[in-house]
This record gives sequence, structure tokens and C-alpha cells, in this order.
Amino acid sequence: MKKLLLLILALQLLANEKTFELLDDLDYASKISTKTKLNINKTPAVVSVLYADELQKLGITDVYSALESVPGIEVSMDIAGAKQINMRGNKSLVTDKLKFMVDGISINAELSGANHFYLNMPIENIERIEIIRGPASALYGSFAHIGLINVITKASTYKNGVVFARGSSEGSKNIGFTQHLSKKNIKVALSASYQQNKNSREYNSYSLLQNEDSFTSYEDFTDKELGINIELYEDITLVSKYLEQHTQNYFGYAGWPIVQDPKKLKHTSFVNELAYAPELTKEIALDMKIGYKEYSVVGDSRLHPYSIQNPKPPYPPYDLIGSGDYKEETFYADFSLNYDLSIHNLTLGTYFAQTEADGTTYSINNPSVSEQTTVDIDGGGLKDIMHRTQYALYFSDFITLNEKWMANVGLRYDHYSDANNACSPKLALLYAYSEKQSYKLMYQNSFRVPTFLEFYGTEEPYKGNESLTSETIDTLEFAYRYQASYNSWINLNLFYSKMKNFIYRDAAFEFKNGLDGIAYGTELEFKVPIKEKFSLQANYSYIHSEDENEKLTPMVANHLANLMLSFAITQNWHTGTRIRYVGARSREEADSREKLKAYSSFDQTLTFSVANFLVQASVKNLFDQDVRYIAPLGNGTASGTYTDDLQQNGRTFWLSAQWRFK
Amino acid sequence: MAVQMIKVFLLLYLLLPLQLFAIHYNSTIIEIEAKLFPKMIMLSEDIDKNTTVLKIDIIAHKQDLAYAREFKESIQAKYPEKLINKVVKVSISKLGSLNEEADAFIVLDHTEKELQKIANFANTRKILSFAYDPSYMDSGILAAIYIGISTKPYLNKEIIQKYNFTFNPYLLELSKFK
Repeated sequence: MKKLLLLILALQLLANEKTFELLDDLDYASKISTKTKLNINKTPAVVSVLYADELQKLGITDVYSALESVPGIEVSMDIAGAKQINMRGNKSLVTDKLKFMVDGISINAELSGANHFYLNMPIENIERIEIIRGPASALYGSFAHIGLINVITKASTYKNGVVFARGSSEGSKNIGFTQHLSKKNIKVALSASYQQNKNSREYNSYSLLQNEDSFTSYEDFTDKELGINIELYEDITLVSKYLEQHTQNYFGYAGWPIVQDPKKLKHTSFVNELAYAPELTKEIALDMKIGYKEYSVVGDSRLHPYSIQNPKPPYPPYDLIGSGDYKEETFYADFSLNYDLSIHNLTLGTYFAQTEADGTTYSINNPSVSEQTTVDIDGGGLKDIMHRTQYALYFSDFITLNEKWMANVGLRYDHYSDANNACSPKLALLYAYSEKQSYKLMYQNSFRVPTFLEFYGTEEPYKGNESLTSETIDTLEFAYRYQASYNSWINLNLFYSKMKNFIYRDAAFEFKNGLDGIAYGTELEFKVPIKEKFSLQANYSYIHSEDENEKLTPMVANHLANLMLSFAITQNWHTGTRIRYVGARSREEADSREKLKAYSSFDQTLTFSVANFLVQASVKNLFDQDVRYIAPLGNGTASGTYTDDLQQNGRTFWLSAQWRFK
Repeated sequence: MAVQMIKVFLLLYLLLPLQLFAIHYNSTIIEIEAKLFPKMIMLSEDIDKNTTVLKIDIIAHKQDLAYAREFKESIQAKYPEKLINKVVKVSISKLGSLNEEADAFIVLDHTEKELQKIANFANTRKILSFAYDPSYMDSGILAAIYIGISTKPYLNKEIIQKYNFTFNPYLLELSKFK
């Protein structure tokens, strides 16, 4: 009836057909608002959206440091230098439990769920980062176990590009660009970046070294990234991203420090997706995607540096070197249908994926003879052929009950050829008390299927177990948002999660399903203008996580806080201030060391911009605070413990320049 | 640690008086508003139907000029030719030089008092005023865009009635009222 009335009014108007497109424009704006998460207070999830231009003014240079500013997220690093994201106290030593997407394409590898190689993406090539805190399996499946991160690149927006260069006092150099070419119905955007990090630090506290000899943590890496986004006639898109990371071993692989001439590992991620998303009618939209993903890791690692052990006899003269080659390929298809039916917005979809990994090789040297890796290890550290087929069906209904009440019901069923099937329900209720205030109550069950490493690993330190069952997590969340304006809001979130079948490695390095556990906490964040002169954004998170025997989850900080200020001194000059606090972190049960002490860091950034040119100077960790990440406990014989944990950079200066294309 | 934190807050304290409030402008919102505001203007009965130019002034502080330019370029890119029978002409003005000849203002961030001043200037001269942020409507700005589950024009009922603004029923039917 309302539509008929609008039609009559439109016909009456009939001044020009363009005027009538207002309704279409509003529909389009609604879709864009949902797609870009502008209406997060009406989204049935706890969502944060970080805008790259805001982050840049705060001196944030990559995805990794951007995520630090999100409530409930704690960043860390493993001993071999792989960056880790811990969300809401759910941390694993081996596996990434977050779904990580670039332009909506999942890049997690089946080997270990890995995504760390994408965390160095430079902020200059990014438009925004969308983060769902809490489970999201009902729509996104396995890897969305504790959350989801979607990095939207500048290339995908086909907006004005940028070229940039950056260098730091700790030996990091970064260059890159994004640029697009658009012609009527064809848009093409290219992006590329290159980062070189040259850094090392002296260290001398390793439990298996008998004297006070120091050794060096080599922390060099290079990232090469290339991407292309193509859009044809607005509903066909092709995205292709290639990333290559060469990294040294930091504090060593398998718990041993390294010495001179460090060996390198090379991670390669290549993702491609072709999507066709036509609007069949005003109410019905299709979204069809097919994709191909490839992930490989190849290279040498120094497993046991006999050469630094003193006294040397009975050790051989050469170090123990491991050389591996792993590659997995995934083909996938995702078809969904979105239907606006009265008060319902229905999504019905199906997903299929097939992953193959074979030809894995693994060899070691004979340390008595040379460093040449000539001794093949049967099975290559992993089962010979690994194959996984996955089918999924998913359904979601967003129901607008009236002006104030909305509900979301979702269900996803996943079938795996090599793991137990999973059913992930979701229920959410949204209440808009007023235009400014909204409440959400959400329940969701998510799962994480065991990775190839957890299932099929054959050698220490990763001995697989094919009888593992998927980890599951049930989460109840309550969220309140008061939004006074686009730049002034308060969020309060409470969550309670129950984890089952937690996968861990036992003392014999075998993966096992462990005890159940719980996690609960609160996240408070706000952004407010004060005295009309400056704006303050801050957040605080409290997280408590324990197993069923009430033992605290190791390596988790209970308290996290961020404070961020961004100002325009004049039209051309900005300053950005960022203070971060990470509370004391608990240890593993058998670890008798004191809790790792809390730290705070203070970053100050000055930005000068004129026309298309922008220069930044920044100091990170201005007060040279002692920032350390927890080093896990070694087993005492095969691997040792870095007793003073993993030290990070102190005060660091950096400079950057960028040119924004018109 | 305590001494260092004191240093931090001392530094902040020293820096604050030098700094102006800097808000974040969302480029997607600018895109949406650049598309919708001109059409909403054309659905007003208060603009002069006989002129061939639609004059839109973006009111911005000096520190927001880059965003004002982005807004202007976005409108010009969306309406390079005529909108119905009018050529769209976009200018950028400051609070101190508001243009009485404009058909409409698009208002970027200002203090509450400044917003009231702009709104009063516009409303008393029957100039349509559109807010980047719907919260500016609290200070008397006439219209904005409401972004909820669906996106809608957002009209200030009190100002419409008080200053007798008239819109086409088509727009009124589509809009949400504050």
C-alpha cells in the first residue's frame, strides 16, 4: 500500500525521471551502509570499524598495530616471529582462531589457520578494517571461531590512490602504492607494497645454555604484496592477491635460539576470487563466488644450534637444520540468495570447498658432516596426502518486527570429509530504545575444525591426532550503544563464553582435546568531544578465562586499555597520541616464573599535509618502556625456555611521506 | 612507571590548549549525502523554480576544508550535467561569510553556537540547510540523512513548521522526522 502511494506521488511529480531515482538511491545507500558497517548499532554482532585515515593520524602503520587498539584484542608474537592476535582471552600457541579476510576473501590456511603473514599490511593501502568480536560461524564457518577481521583495501573502493614510503630507526623500510583506472563500466585497481625489516637483538637468558653466552635474535623479514581488483558492470568482480614473506627465525624454531647465518622461511599466499552479484529484482539479489587459494611455506630452519652450546662435546660440530616444503590448494564456491520479503531479510546460501595438500617434504642434515639437508624424513613431518572436502548450508533471517525491535535468526551446517560435522545456530534480539540508544542480546555457537597440523602432524613438535573433535564455543553477549553523533558514542559489551574440546599440545607434543573452559568479560569504549576543543577515544577491557578446574588460561592479560587523541592544530598540522596499557599476563601451569609484568606504551605522531602531499614523523614507545611477550615453557631437554621472555622494540622513530593521487 | 605516566599527562596537558577539535569525516557518508542532498533540495517547494542554477554552499571551518572539497567534488561528479532543469553549482564558505543567495547549505562540523548561528541565518532566509551529522539538527539545521537499517531523508519537523518550509509530498512520505 505504501509503495503504491509512493508510486502515485512519484507519478504526480513527474518532473523528471531522475527525481524518481531518489527511492533507488536510498535503497542503494541502505545497502552501502550495511556493506560498509555504517549502521553497526543495527547489526546483530559486536562490530568495530577502524578507518585507515583516522588510524594514520594516530601513527598506526599496519594491521597488526591497528588491531591493538580494539577492545578485547591483545597482540603478541611466537618465538619464531609469527604475529598473533588473541581475542577475548582465547589464545592458542599453534593455531590462529580468527577468520582473517582481505576484501571479503578468507585467507586462513588449513595447515594451521595461519594468517599472520597478512598482519604487516601497510595502513596506506587500506580503506578500513572491520572486526567482529565474538563468534561468527553461523555465517562464516570454521575459522570464525572467536571473531572475524576483514581488511578492506583502498583498491577495492576504486577511489583515489596513493604512493608512499616509510622508514624507521629500527631498520624497517616500506614502500607501496594503490592506483585505479576507471572507464564507464570497467574499474581496475592495482596495489603493491614492499617491506623490509632489518633488526636483531642480543639475548642471553636461555635455560639450556650453561653459561652467560649471548646469542642474537634475528628479526629480519621482507614482505612483497601485489593485488588487483577488477569490477565490470558493477556486479562482476575479480580479486587477486599475492603475498610473499621471507622471514628469519627470531628466537628460533622449536624453542632453540639461532646463531649466525640464520636460515629463512618463505610463506606464500595467493588468493583469487571471481564474484557475480546481480540484482535479479528489487527484492532478490544473488551473490555467486568461486575462488582458488594457494598457501605454501618453504625453507630452512635451524632446529638445534649445537654450535652455541658450551661445552661442545658430545655435540656435533654443525647445527641441526630442518628443511621443509609444504603447499596446499583450495577450490571453493559460495552461492547465496538474499530476499527482501516484507519484514524479513532472508539469506540462504551454500558453500563448497576442497583442499588438497600433498608432496610435503621434510629433510634434515647430518650435523656431524655438514649443514646440507640430505636426510629425508618419512612423511615430511605431515601425513603424505591431506585432503579435506567441506559442504555447508547456511541461512539467516533479519526480521524487522517494528520500529524498535529487530531479530536475527541464523543457522549453518558444515560437513567435513575428515572431521566431525558442525551445526552453528545464532539468535539475536535488537532493541532501539531511541534513535540514539540501542541494545543487543545475542547467542551464538561457533566451532573450529582441527587444522591439518593438529590432525596429520607426524613429528615433534607437532604430533597430530586424527581422533580430535572440533573445538566449540557458546557465547552469550549483551551490547549497549549510545550514539550522540557520528563522532560521539559509548559502547558497553558483556560476554560469557563456554569452550568445549579445547585443542592443546601435551608434554609429548601430541595434540589432544582438553578440558572445557569459560571466559567472560566486559568491554567499554567511548569517543567524546570535550569542551569543543579536542576529542578523546578510549577503551577498557576486562577478560577472565579459565578451564573447568578453575586454572587461568595462560598468556592472557586480564586488563587492556587504550587511549587515543587526534587533533588538528591548524589546517595542515595534526597530532595524534596513543597510549596503550596491557596488564600482567599469566603463565602456563607448570611455569614457576612470576606473571609477566604489565606494560604501557606511549606513541606520538605529527602529521603535516598540504594539497596531496602528507609527511609524518612519529615516535613509538616514547618512554622506552620494557615491552615483552610471553615465551612459552620449553620441555627442559628437547627445548628450553627464554627465561626473560621475548623483548620487543623500545623507543622507535619513524618518518613517512605519501602522495595522494587525484 | 608512575613518574613516566605523570610526564605523559603533563605533555597532554601542555598540548591540549594548542589543539582544535578534529572530527573524523567518513567518506562513505560524504558519498551518500553528495548523492541524496541535491535531490532532496530539488524536492523543496522553496527553491526558485525559474532560475537555471542550483546554488549549494558547503559551510566548513578552515581545518575541514579538505573534506569540504571532497564533498564538493563528489557532488560535481554525481551531477556533472543538469539536475532536472538546473545546473548544480557548489561553493565552499566559512561561517563569517554566509551567502544569502544560496539555495542550500551543507553544514560540516561546528560548535553548537556556530551551528545555531548558521541555522538561524538559513531558516530566516528560507535557505535549506543540510547537516553532515544528524546530531546538528538539535541546533536547528533543517535536514540530514538517517542511517539505520534503511537509509532515509531526515527532516526537522519543528523547523519545518516554525519557518514554514514546504516539501513535495513524495519526499515527506519517504522521510523520517525528528
